[in-house]
Amino acid sequence: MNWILKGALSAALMASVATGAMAENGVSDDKIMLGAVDPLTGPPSLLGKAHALALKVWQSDVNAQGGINGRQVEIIFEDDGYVPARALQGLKKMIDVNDIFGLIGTSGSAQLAAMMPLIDELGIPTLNNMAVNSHHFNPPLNSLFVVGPTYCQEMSAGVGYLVNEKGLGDGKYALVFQDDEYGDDVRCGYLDAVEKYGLNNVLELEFKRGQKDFSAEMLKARAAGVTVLISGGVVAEHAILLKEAKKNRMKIAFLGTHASHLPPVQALAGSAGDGYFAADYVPPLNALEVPGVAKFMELANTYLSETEMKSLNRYSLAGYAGALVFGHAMNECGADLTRTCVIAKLQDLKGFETGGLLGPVTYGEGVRHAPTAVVVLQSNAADKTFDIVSERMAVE
Amino acid sequence: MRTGVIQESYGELISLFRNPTQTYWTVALVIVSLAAPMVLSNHVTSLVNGMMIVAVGVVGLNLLTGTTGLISFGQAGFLAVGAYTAAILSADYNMPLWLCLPAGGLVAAGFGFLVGIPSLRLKGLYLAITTLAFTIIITHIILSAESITHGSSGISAPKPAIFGITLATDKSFYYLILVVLTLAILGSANIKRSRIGRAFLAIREQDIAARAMGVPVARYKLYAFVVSSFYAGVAGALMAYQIRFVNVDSFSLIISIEAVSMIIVGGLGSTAGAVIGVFFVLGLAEILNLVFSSMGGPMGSMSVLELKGFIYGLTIVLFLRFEPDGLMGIYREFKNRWVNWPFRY
Amino acid sequence: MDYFILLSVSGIAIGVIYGLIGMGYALIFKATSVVNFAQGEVMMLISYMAFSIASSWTLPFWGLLVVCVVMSGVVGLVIERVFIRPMLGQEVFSTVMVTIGLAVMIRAVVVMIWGADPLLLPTDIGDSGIEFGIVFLYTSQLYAIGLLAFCVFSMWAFLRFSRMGVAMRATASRETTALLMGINVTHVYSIAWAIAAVIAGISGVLLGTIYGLGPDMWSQGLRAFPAVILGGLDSVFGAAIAGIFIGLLENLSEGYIGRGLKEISGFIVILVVLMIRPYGLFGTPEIERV
Repeated sequence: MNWILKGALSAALMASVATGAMAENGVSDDKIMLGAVDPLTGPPSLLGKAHALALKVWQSDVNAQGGINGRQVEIIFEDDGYVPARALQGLKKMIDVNDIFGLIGTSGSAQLAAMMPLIDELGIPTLNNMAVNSHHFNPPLNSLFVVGPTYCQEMSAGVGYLVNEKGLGDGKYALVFQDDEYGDDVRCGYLDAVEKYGLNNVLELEFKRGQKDFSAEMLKARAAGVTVLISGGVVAEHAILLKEAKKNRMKIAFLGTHASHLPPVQALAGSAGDGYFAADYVPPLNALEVPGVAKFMELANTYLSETEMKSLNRYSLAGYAGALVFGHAMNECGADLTRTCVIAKLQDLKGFETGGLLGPVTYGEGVRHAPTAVVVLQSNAADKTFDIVSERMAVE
Repeated sequence: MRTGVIQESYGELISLFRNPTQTYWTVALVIVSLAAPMVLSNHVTSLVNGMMIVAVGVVGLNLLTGTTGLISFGQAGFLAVGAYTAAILSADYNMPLWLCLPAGGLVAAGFGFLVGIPSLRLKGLYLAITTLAFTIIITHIILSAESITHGSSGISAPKPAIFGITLATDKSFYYLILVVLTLAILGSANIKRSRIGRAFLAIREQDIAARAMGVPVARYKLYAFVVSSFYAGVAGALMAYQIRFVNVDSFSLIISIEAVSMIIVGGLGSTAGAVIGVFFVLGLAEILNLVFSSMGGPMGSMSVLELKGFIYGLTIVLFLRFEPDGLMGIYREFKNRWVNWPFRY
Repeated sequence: MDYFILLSVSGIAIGVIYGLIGMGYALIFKATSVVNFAQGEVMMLISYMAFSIASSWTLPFWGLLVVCVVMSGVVGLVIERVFIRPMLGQEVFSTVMVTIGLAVMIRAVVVMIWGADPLLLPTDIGDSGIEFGIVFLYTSQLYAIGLLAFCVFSMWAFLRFSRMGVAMRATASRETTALLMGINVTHVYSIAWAIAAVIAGISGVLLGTIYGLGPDMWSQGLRAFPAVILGGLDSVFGAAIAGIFIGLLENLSEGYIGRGLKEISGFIVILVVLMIRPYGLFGTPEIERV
C-alpha cells in the first residue's frame, strides 16, 4: 500500500517541479545554481576548506555587485572527504536535488576522474582549478575546462628556472616522489627537465604516502653527493625533507611542487625552511603588489571571519581565479544563459587575465587545458612569507 | 497464532522459509524492491545501488566472520582485487560484463585461498591481524604491478552492459545489482542450511571439538575464505562498473573496518542482519551528511563536519556496548515481546 | 660502512619510538587480552593536547613531558572507565571493535578541534642535536632512547616487584583466579590503561618534537604494530626490543633495496612471524583447552 502512496506523492512532486520556471538547468530569472565538490573533512580539508572559502568570497562579491546579469549566484557545497565514490555521489545529488547549472569545485584528480563520465554525459560546464592531471583533458571533454599546469609542466619549468636563473645546471640532481599518480606526474616533469638541460640525475627516491621518516632517503642522497633536491612530497613531507637535509648538514637547493607553497610547510620546517623554492601557478597571498591578490585579500577581509582567514592558502587563490574565469563566461552570455553558451564562451577565451592571479587563460577548439604560466617562489622563513623570484614562465 | 517454531521433518528443518508469513513478507519485499526505482529519484537510486553492492560483499563477509567465526579485515583487499580485475578485463580487454563479474569473483577467491591458509594455524585476534597485513600488502602489490594495473593512475571502466543492453542509467543498473544481491543472499542462506553451513557453525563454536566430531576443519575454513572472498570480488567488480573509476585509494583499511562494523551492527551471523547493517550504517552516514550540509552556518564551523566521523565511531561503540546482537538482536527481542505479551516469556 | 652506520642509527632512532608505542599495545594486551587499536590515536590526541599546552605556556621539554604524563594518565583512566569497563564480560572481539570505534572518534575529534594543518610542537630543544663523529642525532632522539630504556626498566621493575604489577601479571594469566584471590581486577584494568596511555603520551610528544604533528599521525601507531607482533603480544619487554629491530629493518631495507619497501617490510614481518611463531619472540603461547 505504501508504495502506491509514495508513487502518487512523487508524481505530484515531479509535476510541481516541472511547472517551475527553469528554462535551463539551474538557471532561473533571478538565480544561478552552481555546485562545488570539495574535501571539507579529514586531512585533505587543508585544501578543500581553503578552496571553498574562496568560492564563497567570490559568490559574496558577485552578488553584492548585483549578480551576473541580474541573477544571484548560489553555490552548493558537497563534502566528498576525498573519496572518489562520494564525489560522484555528491555530484549526482547536486544534479538531482539542486539542479546545478555548472560545477566549479572538482576536488582531487581521482575524484574528478570518477565524475567525468557524468559531466560529459550531461554536458555540465565544469572548471577544474584544484588538481590538474593529463587524463582530465586528454582526450578532452566538451564541457570540462582545466586551468593550471600539470605537475609535469610545473616542475619542468621550475627546474628550468634553477638551471637558467640560478646557474645550477652542473649540480647533482635527486628526486623524491610519492608512490602514486601525483608522484608519477612530478617525476615526469623532473625527467623532462633532466633531458632538456642534460642534468646529472643521481637519485630517484620513491616513498609511500604518509611516510614520516625520511632519514634513510636523505642519507642515501647525502652519500650520493646530491646538491639539488626536487621534492614531490604532499605537505608535511617537504618540511621533513628540509629538516633532514639540515640535520645531515647538506647544502642543497630545494625545489618543491606547489604543495610546498603552504604556510604549514614553512611552520613545520622552521629555520630549515628558509630559502627553499616552490613552483606554483598562482602568486603568494602576501604578494599584494599583484592586483588580483590585493583584490582577493580585500574581499576576504570583508566577508570572512578571522578564523576563516587563517585557513586561506594558495588553493584559495586558484579557486578564486577559476571562479573569475567561469563567472566571466557566464557574464558574456548575457540574459540568455545556457550551458552551451558558457561552454562556447569558455572555449573562446584568449589570453584572459585574472589580475595576475593566473597567467593568461586560453582555450580553443578541442583545447580544454589552459596551463597558463609557472612562477617560482622562495620561502622567507623569518617573515613566514613567500617572495616571487622568477618571471612568469608561460607554459605551452 | 503460532505457539512456536515446530519443525517435524528434516525438510522443514532446512527449508528456506519457516512459515507462510515469512514467505508473504519476502514476496512483498521483492515487489517493493522491484518497484523502488520507479518512485525514487536518480541520486537516491544511485545511493541504494551503492548500498546494495556493499551488501553483496558484506553478506560474504558475514559467512566468514559471523557464521564461521573467522575474523577477517581483508574485505578491502578482496574488493580491490575484484574491482581491478573487472576494470582491467573490461577496459583493456573489452570483455563483457557477464564474464567480468564472475572473473572478479574468481580472482578474489584465489587470493582468498591464500589469505585463508594462515587461518588454519591462527585464531581470533591473530587471524584478524594477519588479514590486516594481507590487505595492506595486496594494495601495495596492486600499486607495484603497474604493467597490469596502471599503477597509481587508476583505471576507467566502461558502462555496464549486459546482453547488448547498455545499463546507462542508475535505475537500469539497479536491476542488475538487485539480481546479483538476490543470488548472493540465496547463496548465503543455502550454504547456511546445508551441511557446509552447519560445519561452519561447529567451527565457530569450537573448532577442535568440531574436528573431533569429524568435520574436516581445514577444508571448510578454506571454503569459508574462498566463498567470502568470491562475494567480495563480485562486489568489487560491481563497484568498478558503478563508479567507473578504479583506484587503490578507494580500498583503504578503513573499508575493511567499516565492513566488520556493518556486520556487528546488523547482527553477527545473520544474512538479513548483514544487509540491514549495511543499509543502516550507510544510511546513517547519508543522513548525517544531509543534516550537516543543511546546517550552512558560518564557515568557521566547517570543522563541525568532522562530527560525522565522530558520530559514526560513536554508533559502533554504542551498538557494541548496548546491543551486541545488533539490529537483528533488537528485532528478535521485539518479536519475542510482541508474541508473548502480556507474558514475559 | 659509513652509510650502514648512519642508516642503522636512524633506524634505531625511529625504532625506539616504535618500541615505546609497542609497549603500550603489549601492556594492554597483557592485562586485558584486548588489542587496543586506538593506541595510535590516543598518542595523537595527547600530542595535540601537548601542542596546545606548549603554545600557551613556554615550558622546558621535561616540564612538558611531566605535564603530558599526568594528562595521559587521566585520559587513559577516562577512556577505560567510559568505553572499556562497560564491555567487561563480553567477548574480547567486541572490546577490540570498541577500540576501533574509539579510534575513529578520536581522529574526528582531533581534526575538529585542532584542524587539519600539520603543526610544529614548540619545544625548547627543537632542532638542537649532538654530533657523534659522522652521526648527528636530534636531542629529542637521544631523549627517546633514554626514555625507552627508562620505561622498559620501570615496567620491568613494576611488574616484577610492585604489588600492582604482580596483581597485573596474575590477572593476565588467570583472571577468575585473580578475582578469587581478592585482586581488584577492575583496578588492574584501569592502571594498565593509564600506564599504556602514559607511554603513548611520551611517544606522542617525542614524535611531535621530531617530526611534527599532523592529522595522519595515528598511522604511526599502525607502523608500530609489527613490533608488538614480533616481540609477542603480551611481552612488554619484547615489544621494546622488537621495535628497535623493526626500525632497523625498515631503514636498512629502504636504504639498500628501496622501492617503498620501508612501509611493507613491517607487514611482511607480521605475516612471517604469525605463520612461523605466532606468539612472537618473547610471548607466552596460548594453550586452548576444549
